[in-house]
Amino acid sequence: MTLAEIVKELDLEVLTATRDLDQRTPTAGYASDMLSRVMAHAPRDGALWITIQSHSNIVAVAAVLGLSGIVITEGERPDAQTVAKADQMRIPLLATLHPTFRIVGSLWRLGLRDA
Amino acid sequence: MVPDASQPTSAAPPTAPKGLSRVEALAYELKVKDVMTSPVVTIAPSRSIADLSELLRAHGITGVPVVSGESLLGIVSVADLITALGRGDLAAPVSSYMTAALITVNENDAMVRAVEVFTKTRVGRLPVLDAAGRLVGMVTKGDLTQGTLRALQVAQDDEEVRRYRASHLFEDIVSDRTSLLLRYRVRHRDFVTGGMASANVRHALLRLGASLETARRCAIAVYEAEMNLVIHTTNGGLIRVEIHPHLIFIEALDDGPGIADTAQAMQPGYTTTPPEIRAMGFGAGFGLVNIQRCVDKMWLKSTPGEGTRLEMWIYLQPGAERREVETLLDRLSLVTPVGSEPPGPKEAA
Repeated sequence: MTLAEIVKELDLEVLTATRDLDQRTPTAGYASDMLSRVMAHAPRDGALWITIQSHSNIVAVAAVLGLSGIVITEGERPDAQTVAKADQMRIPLLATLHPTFRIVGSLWRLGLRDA
Repeated sequence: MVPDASQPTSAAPPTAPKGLSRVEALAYELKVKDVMTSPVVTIAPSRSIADLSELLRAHGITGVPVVSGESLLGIVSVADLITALGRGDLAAPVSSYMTAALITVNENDAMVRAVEVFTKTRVGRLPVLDAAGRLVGMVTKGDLTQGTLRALQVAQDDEEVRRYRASHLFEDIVSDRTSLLLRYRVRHRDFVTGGMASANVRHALLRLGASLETARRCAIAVYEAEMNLVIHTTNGGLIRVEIHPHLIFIEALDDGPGIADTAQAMQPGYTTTPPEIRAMGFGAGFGLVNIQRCVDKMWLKSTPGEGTRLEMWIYLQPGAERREVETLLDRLSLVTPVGSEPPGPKEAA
């Protein structure tokens, strides 16, 4: 399932200008708000990360791990600088008002797994 | 990952909106003259429909501009030919069957202008004029597709050549031992650029032909070391990454405040990160633990009041650990920018 389809199914808001959402297929999902945990345990390249963190360092984490995108939950909003950095690093930022639990549940129902 | 600053963008309107895909951006970067067919087969207005039939067949084309001297009068196509044949009008001049009142594009227009015309009108081919109004080419929808694919191929070839050159760096440069040294300055409490060193290291390693797995291990180690410098130092610090053909050596240096009990700092979950930074998701107490998982060997030395040195080794080849000695010997002759570098040989961990 592509990121474009996930955005549509979960009604996510796309914050970055990345236009290749239909060419990104998340390989797995991972949810955590502790960055070191993400670094240590997020599954291989291409995973989709669900978090409430919205500061610019999440982009660096995603770039280091080669993640396919970040879903920012519970209405948290990154600042413009973070969005610009995400555009530069080609990391799609997606936002939702729903809490992490709901988003993870929906992704699981769509067939995304943890590894 | 590297912003594509080398691509020229047309100064003339229309300008490309921000956030375009590569293909969309090309529609603005390429000019009509980059994709058009030239020189053009033309026909004089006085020639007959029979001549037109022969011309189209000989060149394998479906339409041709009607030109008198240097001026463009119209276009005559297969559809017009069929109309004339239906009437048995083979001897008639093409001027009586051509379509006049032409839509044209300029050779210096952005390709997107031609795309717009094809979208809004039913025309299948467009005459291309130069600044003086002379016919210099023709452009069809097929030309647009081919021109775009060609430009994409060139861009991809460029990237492949760059990657190839980078991955053969160690073979192409002849020395007794070749290594690459990357240095990154890390500023205290800078969470915005903090993390960029690791992203850049990952990019560099992939360019050099390292596996995804190696690039990832290395980048995670650099990231955790980088964030330690951002969060826990007085003045930030320095990260150095030495890339050798057989191993990668990373060190993170700072000038304080230092760690009182390094064994305690290595314990999973132990943290001294202030609460406001923990709220940002940092300081779970797993930074050094993560590093240990990613590297083949690490060595942490700290003196309170003086600073901390963290050394990390990743072996790229079996037996690389035996060549650590070589790397250490090499380092003795390196001039380092940090004053805290101890003079003379230091103990191998």
